[in-house]
Amino acid sequence: MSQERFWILLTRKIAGEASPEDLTEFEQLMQQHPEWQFASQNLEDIWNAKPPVDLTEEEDAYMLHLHRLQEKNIPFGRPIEPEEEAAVFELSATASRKRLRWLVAGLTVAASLAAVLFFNPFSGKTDAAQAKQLANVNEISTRLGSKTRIQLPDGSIVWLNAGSKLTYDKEYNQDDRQVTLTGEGFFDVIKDPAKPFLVHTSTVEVRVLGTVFNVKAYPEDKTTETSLIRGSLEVSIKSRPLDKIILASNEKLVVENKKDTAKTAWKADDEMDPPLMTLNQLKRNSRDSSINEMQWTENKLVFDNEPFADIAVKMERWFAVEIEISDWALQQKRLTGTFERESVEQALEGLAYASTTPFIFKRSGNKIIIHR
Amino acid sequence: MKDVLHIKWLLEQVALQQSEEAYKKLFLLLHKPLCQFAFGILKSNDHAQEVVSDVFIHIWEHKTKLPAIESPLIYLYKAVKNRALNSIAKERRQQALDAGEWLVPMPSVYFDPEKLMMTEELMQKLQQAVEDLPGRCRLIFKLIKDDGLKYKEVAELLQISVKTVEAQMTIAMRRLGKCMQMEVSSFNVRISKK
Repeated sequence: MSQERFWILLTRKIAGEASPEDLTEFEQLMQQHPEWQFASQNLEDIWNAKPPVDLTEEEDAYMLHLHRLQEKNIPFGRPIEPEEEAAVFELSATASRKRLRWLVAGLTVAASLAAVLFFNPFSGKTDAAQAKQLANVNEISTRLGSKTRIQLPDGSIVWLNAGSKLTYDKEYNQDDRQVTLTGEGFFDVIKDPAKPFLVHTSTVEVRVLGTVFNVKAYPEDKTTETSLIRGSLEVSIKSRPLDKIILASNEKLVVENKKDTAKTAWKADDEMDPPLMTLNQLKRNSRDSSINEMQWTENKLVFDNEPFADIAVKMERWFAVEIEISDWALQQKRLTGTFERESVEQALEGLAYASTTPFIFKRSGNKIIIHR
Repeated sequence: MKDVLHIKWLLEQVALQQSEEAYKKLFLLLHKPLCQFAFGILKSNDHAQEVVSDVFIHIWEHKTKLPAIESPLIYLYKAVKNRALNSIAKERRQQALDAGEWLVPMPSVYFDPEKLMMTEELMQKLQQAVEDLPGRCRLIFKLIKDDGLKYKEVAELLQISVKTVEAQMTIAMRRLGKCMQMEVSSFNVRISKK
């Protein structure tokens, strides 16, 4: 094999232009010519080495650019709705920062967007409305250990947390906007009073006009949580469709995931018997006024004084591992922590360090066993 | 290499949220490479900055159309190229040059000496090798290595074939590789003498 071919393949590989066949061919060549290893590795390193970033000049250029925009009388910036001025500002600032970090961190999206066509063999006879409804369903799902962001046809944005699924049909955005959620989603819904936005989950139904909110509805969890960041929102519980609960900004509704519960009880105190519902204020982090319920969209895994058993469930989804806590007292142990780039081992080490009840863990393959 | 997904994301933020912050990030990320590219055509720094600023103004004014852009990098480079060529034609200062004559500032062949374990001598050799590349070859090398364009996009931008882009890239890489190959053998010789 010629040297020329080698150089073409190496260049393709380094420039990210190589096909799988190219890569196989390249590997074979490398085995025949181990003496090329050093140069090829160094070229790759040179290619990937990035100079330290100094934005001083670009910042200056941006100032000049803004000045030119002004001179040309071009309106710049987001038009602010007077009633929401403060809130909008805060949100847009934190939101774009967070989105950026998410991407920079090298977002591993494992979302499959599937438009499923159902062909009805009895199309001639079936109810037209139903056939229409089934005609085109979009389904977006995330594997364990990954997250994704979706833009819906009306421009509304949804972040899907690990192990979640969102579906909507082609009727979406005609008379209203309906989606079905399993798992956790953070919604930034574009305001359209004419077309209400509805989220269906197995336990609750959330109805909004245009707001920012988070819904956590994993079927395996004990509760379904709806947290409202901004705007207003209406929740109805599947088992009691007539009752509507209106949430105000910074409120969180927790509903027990129990089918066929006849008992209705409002309990404000978390420490009493497992409540059917509780309404809480969202806690803001005193340091940066961030809200725990939206931290995951920032690629942060946050535990705030939560039982280790619940934490383990969250970690299982986040890191795509299996966690078993062998000790009952440990399962009940409440822990607090925030993790961003840590591996599951690093996160557990951090928790072990902070915990007043010491524990150790052992990983074998995908399974982690925690004991005292 | 610029992360195309990231750039698309920023454009989307500008389009949907009218995010000033995303707009600024875009500007900071792309201003320099676009200016360098424009400078190659215009041979004037002020002129290049103005063209790039105009392209960014255009982006802001047409922000609703941004999500339709499939390959943002090629879109931006072409916009800069067209504006630069137009401004030359308008001013009738000179006939627009052939792409082969577009000047290119030195690509930033950057070395992290600690990580790469290279001698000063080798670094200078590599630097020299890049400088010695023919004009068009160097332009292609920079657009792909530093600016993150794909072979296909460079071909479209410079109106040449993908094969030509690949050939030029391969030449550039081989020249850099040759520098190191020599270094390897002389290094081995030194060791064996000891």
